[in-house]
Amino acid sequence: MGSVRTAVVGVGQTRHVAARHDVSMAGLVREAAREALDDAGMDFGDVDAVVIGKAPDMFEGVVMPELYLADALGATGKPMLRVHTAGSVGGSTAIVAAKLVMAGIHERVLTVAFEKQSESNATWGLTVEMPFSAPLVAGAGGYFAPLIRAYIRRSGAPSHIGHLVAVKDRRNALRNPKAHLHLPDIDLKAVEESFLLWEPLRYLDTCPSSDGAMALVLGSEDVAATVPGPVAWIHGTAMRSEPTMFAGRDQVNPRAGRECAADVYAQAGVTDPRRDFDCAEVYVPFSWYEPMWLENLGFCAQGEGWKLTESGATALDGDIPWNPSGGVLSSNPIGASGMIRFGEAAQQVRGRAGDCQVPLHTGRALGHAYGGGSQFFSMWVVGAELPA
Amino acid sequence: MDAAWALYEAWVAIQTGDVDSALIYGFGKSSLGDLHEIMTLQTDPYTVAPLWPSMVDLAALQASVFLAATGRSDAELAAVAARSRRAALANPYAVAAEDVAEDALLARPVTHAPLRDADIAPITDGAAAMIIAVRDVAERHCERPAYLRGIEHRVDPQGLGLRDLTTSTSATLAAHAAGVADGPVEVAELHAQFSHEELILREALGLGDDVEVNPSGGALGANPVMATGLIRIGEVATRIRSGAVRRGVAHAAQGPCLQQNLVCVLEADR
Repeated sequence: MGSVRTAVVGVGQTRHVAARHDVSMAGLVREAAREALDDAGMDFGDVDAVVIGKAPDMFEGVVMPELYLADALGATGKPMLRVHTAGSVGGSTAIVAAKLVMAGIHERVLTVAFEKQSESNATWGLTVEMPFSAPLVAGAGGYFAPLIRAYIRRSGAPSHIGHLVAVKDRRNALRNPKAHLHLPDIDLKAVEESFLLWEPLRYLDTCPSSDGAMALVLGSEDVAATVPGPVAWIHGTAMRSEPTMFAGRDQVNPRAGRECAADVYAQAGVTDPRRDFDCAEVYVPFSWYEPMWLENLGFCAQGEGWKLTESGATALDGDIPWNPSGGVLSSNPIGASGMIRFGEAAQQVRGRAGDCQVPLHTGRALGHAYGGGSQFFSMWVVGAELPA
Repeated sequence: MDAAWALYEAWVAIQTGDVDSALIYGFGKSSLGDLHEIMTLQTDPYTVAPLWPSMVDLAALQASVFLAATGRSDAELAAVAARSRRAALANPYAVAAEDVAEDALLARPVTHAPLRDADIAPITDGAAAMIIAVRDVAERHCERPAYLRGIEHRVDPQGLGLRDLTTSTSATLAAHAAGVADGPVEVAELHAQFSHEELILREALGLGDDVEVNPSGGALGANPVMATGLIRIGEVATRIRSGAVRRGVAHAAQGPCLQQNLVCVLEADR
């Protein structure tokens, strides 16, 4: 994992909303960066390098937007990198930034991920036929719904499980002032009665389209000793990919996700994720992905994920809260969503999660992101204590 | 990003000690679209892109500013273009190769003043791949590895009014950090998509007149976008591995008017 122990020393994010008409893309990313730097007691001049992530350029139609954003993020005269891994990009970007510190190349790295969906059309961006890949013609929901139906058939899960997640994550979001959706009246009936988008996903089973940005400042052990607040130590990082399609591919429970989790757990010495984490921030853009990823990430046996959700174990007062921040179901600036998971996990172990804070027993949390056709995975484990 | 930055990322992975070797690749298939107009979408989406300047328009602007400020003439651009096209004859991967003299190019029409077609990198489909490894592994597989002595990249602000277009500040910073001047440079492969960019980069990187530049024909010979920068590094590495040279410099760039630059120094052990 590299020779330099590395920590999240600053976290900042915008208030996520449907349309930020008051700022440009540059203004959006700078707002998150400014908050993260303030948290770390730093200014743009203190940063050695900048790492930017966002979902495909087709969304906003800005080609390689990192070039246009370099100035707004104080990258002039510095190394600046861009990361692309579809929906998992926020997580991958944080990992690429962390590696620059772990490798001993830089001391302080600013990393920012964003999406401005109000200036974009994600469903079009995911539907238009790209020269090098099979046409999707479905957007994200249309792509994932058949996989969800396969999960339901395979596991025998009752039909209300997804709706439970939709309600739980939106109730958590009521405690998060930065969350896009604040739906105080949401209940099971409201989800069941919302209109059907892609069988079995109803409107309230799906994530919103958000404008937003997330920023982290990562620092070496020496830097961590000098910052004003508590830090979140990185105990493990992992990324895995697999092709969108190949014969025998299990798209419901992708091998890349299982192996990514096994790798990051091994680095962090995690043997029983349900016991060893205080909470997990997991990329759940459609409600049913909670039980699916509970199984893929080894929080329970195969076929048991829906039972864990149904039991309330993943609720804020359960034994393993998932997405105490409200998750992707409550805020989805796509490119930033993975980094929000990573950053919210860090805030939990720093004790900085506000009204979303879970009690700390092990002092460790999982951040997770996935993207593409369930084919790109990025994960990190963060902890309140220095890694062993 | 150009695959040269993928090489940087792979180099970082090796620095962490997590991996011993890495495969890097990049590809471009510019024939499928209108590259010059697509690159317009790299510019500020609120204030510049709506004016729809193509990447060639922006390059021509930089070339004009550069020639005016330095008192150089388009004959020097033609000299770069002619030398590149002749060098490309010896490169089986090049697409714009011809035995042509500077005077003959000067007689051709100016298409984007002060640039002529031969000053503009050709639309190219292509891919490149590279394998890097730690010393032990490299020496097991390769008789004369080309060692990466320094690899650094820097970026300038994009706004054309925010920087001096007669030079490339970020290229100079990257060259300094990579240690270009720490030893003799025998060969340099520069990612110049336009003739004037080579002249700007020679100065920005501090390369003397004795340095052989772009013996492959450079990007003016073949420009598979996103692989072109990595190819520059591969061309220098190949010359070191063959024993033709001992130390060389490779450069990659992206963004309008040489906005972002990567410089690496490659060297043989002996």
